[in-house]
Amino acid sequence: MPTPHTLTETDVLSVSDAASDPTWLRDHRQEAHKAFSDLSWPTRREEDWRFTNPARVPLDRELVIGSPADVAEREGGIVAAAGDLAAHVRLVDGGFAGVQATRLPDGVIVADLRTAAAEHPELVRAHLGSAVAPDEVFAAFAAATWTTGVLVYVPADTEVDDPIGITVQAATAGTHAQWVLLVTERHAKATVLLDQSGATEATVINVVEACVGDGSTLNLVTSQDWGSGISHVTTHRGKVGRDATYQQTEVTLGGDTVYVRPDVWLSGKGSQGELLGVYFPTGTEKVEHRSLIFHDADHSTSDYVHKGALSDTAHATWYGNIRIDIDAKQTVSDETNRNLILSPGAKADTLPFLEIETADVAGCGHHSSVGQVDEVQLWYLQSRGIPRDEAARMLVFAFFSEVLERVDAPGVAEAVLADIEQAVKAAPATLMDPRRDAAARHWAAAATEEAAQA
Amino acid sequence: MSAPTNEIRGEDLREADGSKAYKYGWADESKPVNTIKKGLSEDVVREISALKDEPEWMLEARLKGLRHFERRPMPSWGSDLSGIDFDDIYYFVRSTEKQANSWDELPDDIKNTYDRLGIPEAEKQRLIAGVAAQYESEVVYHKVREDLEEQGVLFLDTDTALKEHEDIFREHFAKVIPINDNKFSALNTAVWSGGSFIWIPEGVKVDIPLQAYFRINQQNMGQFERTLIIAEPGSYVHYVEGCTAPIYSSDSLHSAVVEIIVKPGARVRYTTIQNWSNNVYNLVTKRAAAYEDATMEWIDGNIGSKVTMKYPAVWLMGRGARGEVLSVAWAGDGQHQDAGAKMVHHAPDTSSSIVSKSVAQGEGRTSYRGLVEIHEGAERVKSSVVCDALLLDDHARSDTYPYMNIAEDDAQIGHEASVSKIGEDQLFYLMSRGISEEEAMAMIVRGFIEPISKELPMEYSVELNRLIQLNMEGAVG
Repeated sequence: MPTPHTLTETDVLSVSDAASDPTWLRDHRQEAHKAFSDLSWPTRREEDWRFTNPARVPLDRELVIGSPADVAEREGGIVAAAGDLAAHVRLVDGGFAGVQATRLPDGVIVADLRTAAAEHPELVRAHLGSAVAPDEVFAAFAAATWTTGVLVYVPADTEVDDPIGITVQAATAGTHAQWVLLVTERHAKATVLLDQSGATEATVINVVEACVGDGSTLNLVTSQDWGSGISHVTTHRGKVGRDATYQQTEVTLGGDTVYVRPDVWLSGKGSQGELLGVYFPTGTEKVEHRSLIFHDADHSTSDYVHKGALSDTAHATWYGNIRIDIDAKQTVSDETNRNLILSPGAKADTLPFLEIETADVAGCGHHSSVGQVDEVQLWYLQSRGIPRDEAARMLVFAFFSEVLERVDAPGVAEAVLADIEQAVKAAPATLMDPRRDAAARHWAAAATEEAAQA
Repeated sequence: MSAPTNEIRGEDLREADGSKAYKYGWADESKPVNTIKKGLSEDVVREISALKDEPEWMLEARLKGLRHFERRPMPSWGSDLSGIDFDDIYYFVRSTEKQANSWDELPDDIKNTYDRLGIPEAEKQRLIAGVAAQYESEVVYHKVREDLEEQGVLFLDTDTALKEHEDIFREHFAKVIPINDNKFSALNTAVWSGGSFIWIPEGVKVDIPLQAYFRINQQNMGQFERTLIIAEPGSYVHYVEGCTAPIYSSDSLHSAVVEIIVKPGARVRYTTIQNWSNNVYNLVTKRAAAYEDATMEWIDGNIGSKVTMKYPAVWLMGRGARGEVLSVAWAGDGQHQDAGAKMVHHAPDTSSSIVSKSVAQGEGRTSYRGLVEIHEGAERVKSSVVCDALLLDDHARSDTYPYMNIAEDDAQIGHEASVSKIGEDQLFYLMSRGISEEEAMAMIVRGFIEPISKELPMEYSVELNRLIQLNMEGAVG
């Protein structure tokens, strides 16, 4: 099997033929491969990869097709926590591991993307690649080679009340390539939860492409909860139509290296995008969120809030760029990034960029900060008889709750806080250590100086 | 000292076609006494060094700079620099044989230039403690107040400093900004000429500013001054520089390097009002190293030039050091001001603050590009960054590119930015009081940049307001 490094056009065509792709899809892959071969794998010299060493994403792992039969279902995670689901899909490695769809309204499709490409060719063809073009090397690789995927399609004027769950599991070592296509037609409404986990040694390259039709509402929550052997590069992009509402939440809790591009393209007048996110890397993990919010239409609004906590020697990079096109008048946008550093070895980069081509903005701002759990607040809680570690946990919870309580999907906040609790308990011994109290150190130093003078 | 006024003195400010004029756009007939042929090569670098009769180590530094310049790619970020033709630039122009220390000794053409810029007048009124005037590649006039000289303050042009104080010069040259720091600092190292050298002895406080005035007169000229300021422990100095050039159809290049060493407990304030004509590429590297309890302040005004890429930096090297940048940028049609600041914290208990205000008008573009970096071991750092942009026209553009890299767990870092346009209600309120739309807009802009203009020496503050008034003319309708 080819690896991302060795991939050739012949490899792409044999992936396509093995799956009996319709001709148009075979052509689509071939075109993506052409774009892919004109691009090169990133080096650290590129601006996009200055903060995450691309060597952390192994490209010599063989592409995995299909999936083993006996992979246990994922325990925990946001899909399991959601309660009743309208449908539940499982992808394992490079294969489709089944769909349960019992409660779907008429016309709603939740299916294997390959099956859908054969059964609903016009529908898939109209949307596949319409929001995520093969103009970036990892997205181009995924477009050419995805071996499994999901289509979620909600027809016009249809609301799916319960969330649709997609579970992605990595069980076999190698490279996994997947494509998730979400389509909400005019005035449709849906919530999609994507839960990704796995404990093997794998490179996962996938794309979540959301086409949010005029007046529709899509809530998407993606969770990256990988084990320490996984490197993951992904693009999550919503193209949002007129007066449509799109909420996208990133929950990035684990993985050796996780590099997410959460993009929103506000292409319709009056469209609204809300990007929420929490991240909590521990150990030697590296997380990067690098996003573009592109206001391409009048009166579009965006609100972007990402919060992260870092412990041990983890490193998090957050980059958010709001670009307002010259013809997009009266837009409102805001971006906020806050970081809590819990251990002396952890490192955070925050890059809140704005590119504004017109003066006719209704409001635009950004805020970012890096700090630590506030000693005064800790002291206050301790003075009320709450032990220091419990107080610290409460403050970290409060920090994340501010984002999580805005997530419009059942069970997500609770499930994520439960995971964060594990991380807080497990990792930062320093957080619980009164010696890191900056004020205490300062006064101790002052006292020593005084003693020396005396 | 005159009060701020809206009246525009001196030159006729309108072109024949009624368009806005650049006040300093005239050129004089000055004939250079020595010009090295256009283009950059090892021969040109050797020739500059030979003309200046430099020690061997300096020639070697220049050649090292040349090699780095040739090897490094053009920056792929920031502004469009494709308009610079490095082969079509004069790297060295000597305009007079001898440096003057009274204005009357200068050739008439050059003296006339500074008269029209109002510099001798300011010196006469003792608004400044010392003046350096650089014309093309070298400093043509130099004067320091006698009492400062007596206290041991050195305020020289950099060429003379190399001759007369080689030891102290060599000890500090290219230490804050290494030769290979970036492509343009390498270029400057290769062909540097002129600039100011300032040394303030321990404990000496220079109460009124030292001032330098940079002028490019020749077409296709490159000006590469090199400034080195050393403030010994407990000293204080405020250095002010201004820049202008004539308007030509082809572009000039200004690529300076400014290195400042602020020793323990010292304070240096460095003020620039850059008003180059709109055909100058202004690519400048400015960096200070601040030691224990030292304070470094950059006040950086960018009004002119075609393209400016300049990010005054403070490397906070000693416990308790403080860095501050106040930056104001104005961009009109055809201008891109890519300005900002860098604060690099290497020591504990250091603090920094960046305030940036930018105004983009017409099709102008302002970018704030900044860096706050906290290295391991720099504990209890505090840093705050505030950038506000004002857009006056629908086609004006504003970008904000703040980088923050934090490797300590007890840093307190904050960043806030806003982008806005002039509010209709603000305009309406002022106009309902009988103020014209144009004046109302100018008032709002002046209010917007006030946190920075109030930090300037009076005459510079007046000048800045006057420049804004001038730029605002014709902005309405």
